[in-house]
Formats: sequence, structure tokens, C-alpha cells
Amino acid sequence: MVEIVKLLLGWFDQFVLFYFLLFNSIFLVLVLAGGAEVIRARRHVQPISLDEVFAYPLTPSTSVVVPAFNEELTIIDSVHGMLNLRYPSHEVVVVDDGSTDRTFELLDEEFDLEPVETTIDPAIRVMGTILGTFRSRVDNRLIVVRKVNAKTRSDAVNAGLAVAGKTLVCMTDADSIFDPDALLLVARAYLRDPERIVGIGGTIRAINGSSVTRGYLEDAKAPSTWTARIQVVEYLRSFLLGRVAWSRLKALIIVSGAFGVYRRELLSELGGLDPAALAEDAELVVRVHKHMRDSGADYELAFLPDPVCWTEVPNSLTQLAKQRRRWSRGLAEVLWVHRRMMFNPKYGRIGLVALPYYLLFELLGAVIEFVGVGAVLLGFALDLVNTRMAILVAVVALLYAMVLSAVTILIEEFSYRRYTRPRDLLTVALAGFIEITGFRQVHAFWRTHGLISALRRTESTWEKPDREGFGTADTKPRTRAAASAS
Amino acid sequence: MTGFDLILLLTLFVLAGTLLAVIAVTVFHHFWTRRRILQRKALADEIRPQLMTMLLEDDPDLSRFETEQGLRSRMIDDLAEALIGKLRGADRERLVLLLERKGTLERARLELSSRRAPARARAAQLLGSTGASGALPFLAAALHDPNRTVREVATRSIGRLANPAAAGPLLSLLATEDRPVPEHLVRMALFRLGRPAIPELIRELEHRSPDVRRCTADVLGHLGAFEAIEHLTEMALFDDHDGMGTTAVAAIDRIDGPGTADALQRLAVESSNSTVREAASAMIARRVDTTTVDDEDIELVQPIESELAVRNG
Repeated sequence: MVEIVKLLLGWFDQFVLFYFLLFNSIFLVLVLAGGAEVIRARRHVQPISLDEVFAYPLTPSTSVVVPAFNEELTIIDSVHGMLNLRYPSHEVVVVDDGSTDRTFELLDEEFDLEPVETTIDPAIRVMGTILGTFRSRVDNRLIVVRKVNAKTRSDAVNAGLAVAGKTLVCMTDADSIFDPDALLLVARAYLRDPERIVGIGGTIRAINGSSVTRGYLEDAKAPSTWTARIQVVEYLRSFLLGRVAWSRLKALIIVSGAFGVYRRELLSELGGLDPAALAEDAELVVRVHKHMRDSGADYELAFLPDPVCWTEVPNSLTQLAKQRRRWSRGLAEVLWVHRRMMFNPKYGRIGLVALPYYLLFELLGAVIEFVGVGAVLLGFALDLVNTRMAILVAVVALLYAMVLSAVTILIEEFSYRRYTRPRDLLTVALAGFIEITGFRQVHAFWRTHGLISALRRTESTWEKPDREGFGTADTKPRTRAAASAS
Repeated sequence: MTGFDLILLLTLFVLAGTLLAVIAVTVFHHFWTRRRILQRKALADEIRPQLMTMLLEDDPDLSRFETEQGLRSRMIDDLAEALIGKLRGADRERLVLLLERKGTLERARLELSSRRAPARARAAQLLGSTGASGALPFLAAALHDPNRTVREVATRSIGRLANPAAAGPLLSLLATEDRPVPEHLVRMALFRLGRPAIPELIRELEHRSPDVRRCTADVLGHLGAFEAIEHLTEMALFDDHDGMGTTAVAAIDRIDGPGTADALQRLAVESSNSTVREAASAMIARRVDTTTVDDEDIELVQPIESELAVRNG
């Protein structure tokens, strides 16, 4: 009996080793391909300058939709940041999703809101009743929509989409700040192929620890907690280089909800975001692919590494665990809902490459990693594994993952260099190594938990993460009224 | 030690070596780049005032810049190119002359034949930003470069030459089916050529390609080319190609100059295309401010309304 268990365990360990070598190799190829693309794009002359995009009369107008539920800590800075974006024609639509804190009052104090009548697109489903729409007397580009909370972020975004009146719609979050030229960079890419481009995703970076003044990121610094620092490396690897490579392969299926730009009319055709989806951003992208391929259209859904949205990432493990469980569950739901696209040649690279990859490596990878670690520990406990061999295998797997993190940081250093202080670079590099030894295994547990809850189909609701606010150089006062009072 | 052990051990050493190498390159690059940035900044701080002084002098000695080599020479080129974009008149011409005498512009013309696409794109950009005389044929040839970025940079550069003759080569890009450059880039370049290109653009309204005619009409509208109203009216009346009439009428409306109201009135009555008639009527109605209607407005609208009533039975 012991021999059989030993044999099975040995086979399983070899499978796990092979699986991780394969996974890391695929990801290394993605990171290198993404890195090469980023470095190439940075070194090439740009055919259109941003000033020309700004001055061009046909640059598409853009609505920035900001769902906000209890966002009193960041909303004012965030809205100032959105309004101050360098762009010839944009509006900011903030959706107060039934906040119970002072989100709406702060907006009213700062921007002097007045009730207005607006056209609401009936094609977009909104579950929570819209209580009213307001326009700022201080800056008429700001519209605030008040609605009843329907316990999903998608519903708040949909309310914003229903009111948005511009050609393009940029979806983001109230704890996010864009680089000043972010929308111009998106418009520049759009203008290069407006007939084919239906959506564009931008880069997400962690804002924790950086200095923000009135919605403007003054100084990018590495976050102060290791939890957030680890996410810096994750975001660089997966949200920047990984997505650049997927975009290059024309198989991008995730565009972050914090920075996704789409044609307004397309979203209207699709009825907006799916209010039942936990990973509504990924679900939308897959639905866009399905819609476009079903209609036989020649299209492109692109990812741009240059425009950056800085967003607050969870600082505590508890918050991070919640977020990662939600992501894993959301991914499982998306893959289930669109299961007919999987391995279906009709959907090209999306059906044959991207969706299977996300199933086999992103979703099931967590389970295999979690069970693999458990099997090794069990083997040790029962004295069924060759200790020397197990350690050697573990060291090889860890080293490979460390090489992957180190290459990610090297590419960042060769391309964007957003962290200019040697200390920040060192911190981020260390976080990359810590991620491999401990965090990744815990992360696998959270993701497995998320998958199990998807399989059990327990009731799911979107929980807003706790905010800590931006690290402002001049933290107080936050509003115009408070400033004049002081 | 088994074969598997050996493979693992070898893999371990390779990975450890790779990891150390990557870390070393990252650290080296970080400090090297930092040093290079500081070095370039110091050099720019030294050369920029010299260039500014040269611009202030009545009869400057350009030879002191011509003899520079290596990084200093490249820095002079970069700073001069950046300054050229911000200057007009004699100062701009003097900097272009400096680049010409340094051989930078000649090198750029030669670089347009380089085997490396980034070098060709860079050369096209330099020729465009300096507005170098005689650059148009070189840049026009680059519009058919095999590399997309080079074609796009050449398009932009042609727009920056301020040479009205550039309108033809730019619009010819829209006449082919494969569309080597996105239409918006062509439009941007045409806008950049500005009003001096209007006569050339008016001639292009006769182009055999409907795409060229449509783009030209639209650009004339955005440029406010009141000289083109008559030609656009003819186009709206007689160009049968799908959508051309409405493009022309929209361009006339956008021009909003002397003759616009008359042209719209004529189109609202005379056009055989009902879409054009309706568009023109709607534009006339929008122009008449209902809160301050006077006799002149009524005189303008009444004949059109009665004519339309007759036509629509």
C-alpha cells in the first residue's frame, strides 16, 4: 500500500514539476515578448505627437465613468485628476452608488452641483433606480448620477454608461488616478485605426506610497507595505508585460475595469456590463470578442503599455485575500458562461489559445499549486519522498520563478523606469523574491477558495475594499470648501 | 547520483547564474542610465545657451558647432531640432542652416534609405520638424516605405513642411485600396498644411477617387475655406457618389463664411438628392435663431419652405 502511495505521489510530484516548468516557461515567453514590444515601442519615433492629437478637431470625445460607493477618502482628488486630464473633449460621469458616507456631500461642496435632466440610454440595463443627475456649476464637464445601490459595481458603471454621451467611454474607479496624458495616448492609438479598434486597455500600477496632490501624481514611490510591494511586481508582470504580449497575439481577454476604453455605441449594443458577473471587466472583453466574431467583423481590442492608471491596491492580506478570491471566482464564472467559445475554432485565438490558457493555468494552476504543495508536505510527513530530491526540485522551481520576477523588473528598468530611486528598485526586487517564497502559495490557497465558491455557486456580492486614501503631500484640506474655511 | 539528479543540478546552476546575471544587468543599467541622464543634462545645459547666443548674434560663427563630434554633435542636433519646433522666421532658418552645414540634414536624407526602420523613421521626423527645403520628394517616397511607422512619420513630416504642393502626395494615399496610412493621419497632415493648401485642395475635389474627394471636402470645411464654397456646392449638387452630397453640405455648413447661407439655400431647393435637401434645410433652420427672428430670416426661410412644400407634394 505504502509503495503504491509512494509511486502515485512520485508521479504527482513529477507532474507538478512539469506543470510549473511549463507554466513558468509560457509566462517567461509572454514576459519576454511583452518586454520586447514595450522596449521597441519606446524606442520608435511616434508618428503622431500628443499635441497634434489634442489639436485635431476629429479626436473622439470621451466620457470617463467613475463608479463611487463610500469613496469619501479619494473621490475629490480622483475627480480633480479626471477633470484635469489633458484632453480636448471629455466629461466625467461620477455615479454615487447609494453611498452612506459623505461622498455626494463632498462632491456637492467641491463642485457646486445642480439637478439637470439628462438623456438615459434605454439599451443599457440599470437595476438600481436612478435618483437624479446633477451637473457641476464650477465645471460643467462633471456629471454626478445618484442611484440606489444594487450591490454590484457593474450596475453603477452601467448607470454611468447610460448617461455618458461621448464617442468613447473610459471606465475607471474612484480610487484611481490617470497620468495627465493617459486619454490622449489612448486617442492616439484609436486614431491610427478607428474602423477596427473597438476597445483599448491601459496599464494599471499601484499608487500606494506615492504622493498625490489634487488628483495629480507627483512622485511615484514603492509602497510602504510588503503586501502592496508584492503587487507592484505582480502588476508589472501580469498586467503590463503579460497583457502587452496577449494583445500582440491578438488574444487579449482581460482589460482591467480600472482602465478600459470602449466605443460607446458598442457598449450600448451589448447592453453594458453584465450585472451578475463578479469579473465584469473580463466578462465584457470576452463578450466583445464573441459579438465581433459572431458578426464577422474585422476588429481589434488593444492593450497599451504607455497610458497609466494608478490605483490603490490592498495594503492588508485580509483585503488582498478578498480581492483574489473574487477574481478567481469571477474568472471561473466567465469561463463557465462562455464555455461554448472554449476550443471553438470559430473564435480563433480567443477560443483556441486564450481561454484554454486561462482555464488550464490561471484558474486550475492555483489548485495544482495548492495541492502540489500539500502533496509534498504530506510526502515529507509520511517519509514517502526523497528529501534531497524534493529540496532540489523545490529550489529549481523557486529559482525559475525568481528569474521570471527579475526579468520583469529588468524590463521595467529598461523601459519605463517609473521608480527612479535605487532604494525603490531594491524594494520592488526584494518583493519579487518574497512573492515566490510564501506569498504565492498563500495566493494559490485564496484562488482555490474562490474557485470552490464558484463551483458551490454560493451567493456572490461585490465587496468594496477598504480605502486608505492617497498619500497626499498636502493631505488636508481635501475640498474647496474646507480650503476656504481654513 | 542519477541522471535526473544531474539534470536538476545543472538546471539549478543555470538558473542561479541567469538570476545573478539579470540582477547584475539591472543594477548596472540603473546606475549607468542615471549617470547618462545626468551627463546629457549637463551637456544640454552647456550647449543650449550657446545656441541661444548664436541666435542673438548678428553674424554668428556657425563653424564652432560644425566641428563638434560624437555625443556633443548629437546633442546640438537634438537641441536645434527641439528649438526649431518652437521658433519662426529668421531664428528658425538659422537653426536649419546650422543643421544643413553640419551635414545633419544630408545624413537624414541618406538615412531614409537605411536598412533599419527606426533610423528611417527618425530621419523622416528630422526632415519634417526642420521643414527642410527640398525634403518633399524624399518624404513623398517614404510614404510608400514597407514599414508602417516610417510611412506614418513621413505623412506627419510632410504636413510640417508648410508646402502646399504636399497636399497631392498626401491625398494620393487615400486613393489606393490598401490604404498605406490611416486616414486620420492624412487629415492631420492636411490640417497642418493649413490655409495655404486650399487652392491645391480645391483642385483635388475633382479627384477620381471618392475617398479623396470626401476627405478633401471635409478638410476644406474644417479649414473654414470660404473660397471653396462654390466648388463644394457643385460637388453637393452633381457628385452622385454615395454620401458625397451630405459630406459637401456639412463642409459648407462648417465653413460658416460669406456665401454659406446662399449655398445652403441653393442646395435646399436645387439638389435632386432628398438627403442633401433635408440636411441643408436643417442647417438653415439651425442658423435662424428662433428667439430673434427678423424679417431677413423670414425672407431667407420662406422661399425654401414653399419650394420644399411643392416638391414634397
